[in-house]
Amino acid sequence: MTVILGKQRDNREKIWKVIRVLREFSIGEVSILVNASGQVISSYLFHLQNAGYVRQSGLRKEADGRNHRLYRLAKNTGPKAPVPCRCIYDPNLDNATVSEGKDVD
Amino acid sequence: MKKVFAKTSNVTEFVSAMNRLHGRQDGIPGMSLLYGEPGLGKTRTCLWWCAQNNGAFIRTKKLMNGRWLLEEIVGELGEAPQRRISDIFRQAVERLLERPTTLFIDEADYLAHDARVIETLRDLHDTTGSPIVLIGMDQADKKLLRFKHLYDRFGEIVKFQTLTQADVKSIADQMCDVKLSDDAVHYIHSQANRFRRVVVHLYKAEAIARANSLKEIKAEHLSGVKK
Repeated sequence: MTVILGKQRDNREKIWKVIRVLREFSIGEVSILVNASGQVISSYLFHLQNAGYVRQSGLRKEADGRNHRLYRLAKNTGPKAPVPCRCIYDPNLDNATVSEGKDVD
Repeated sequence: MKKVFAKTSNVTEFVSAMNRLHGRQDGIPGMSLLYGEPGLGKTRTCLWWCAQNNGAFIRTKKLMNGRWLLEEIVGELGEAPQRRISDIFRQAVERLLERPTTLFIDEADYLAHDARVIETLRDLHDTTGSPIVLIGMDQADKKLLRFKHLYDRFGEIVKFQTLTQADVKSIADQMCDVKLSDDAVHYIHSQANRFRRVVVHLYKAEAIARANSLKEIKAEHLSGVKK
């Protein structure tokens, strides 16, 4: 289990490093540079997009002749990769709780 | 088409330069210069290396002064820069000594107008021994030649060249799912010498092979598309 988590963290760090340098990027581009599958990239980008770190910025026709979705980094907060975690936000209490029961502010 | 980072002769040369830089003996300078025309993949190659290894990537700006550069470096090394410039420099040195990281300075030609900025990088390298790679445009070597002390510290100088025919062949071998004959490789090379253009031709070759159930693509198949 730890091996899998380690690999996930490793991928996150790599993806975050790459997208901070590229101003605009497609999933395919990042996946080549990071050496990870497109699925890994898009799932991390999904979390980042939900949290407002990246936004979609249009389409670009790439070498294969198809249009690929482009993303742009909107919040460059620093070198450490943001970690997606599962939590439930309660507007009554104005806090978020991780599924294990720990509070997140 | 395989989604891999194709290793052209430029990339191989860069990787072996980086290996030499990291395996160097004491007393051998650890700075390096990578330059070449725009669009040859310098930044991409460094970024790819950076993602697989331990490196920090700094994009310089035209307006950058010494303080700003140091702040960026310290920020990339994971610390909040302090107020005084002497403290920021000390922070950078401490972080680099604690955890040696290769610094990549992209578009280093921007810094060439100010000797103090560029010499700060040299100071940082001299105090920490951490490898620093400057990435510059074509002619960057001539621009930096002015700074004798800095230039002497370039242990490795790599110039990115436009793709050769052998490069096109190796890209095709690494990425393309169909086999290309030598004349097809020659044809693609005559049409395109930039990586992105070559890939467009490879996609075309694959599409032709699929449509016609061909095992091997020859130049006549590719040139036929144009007409």
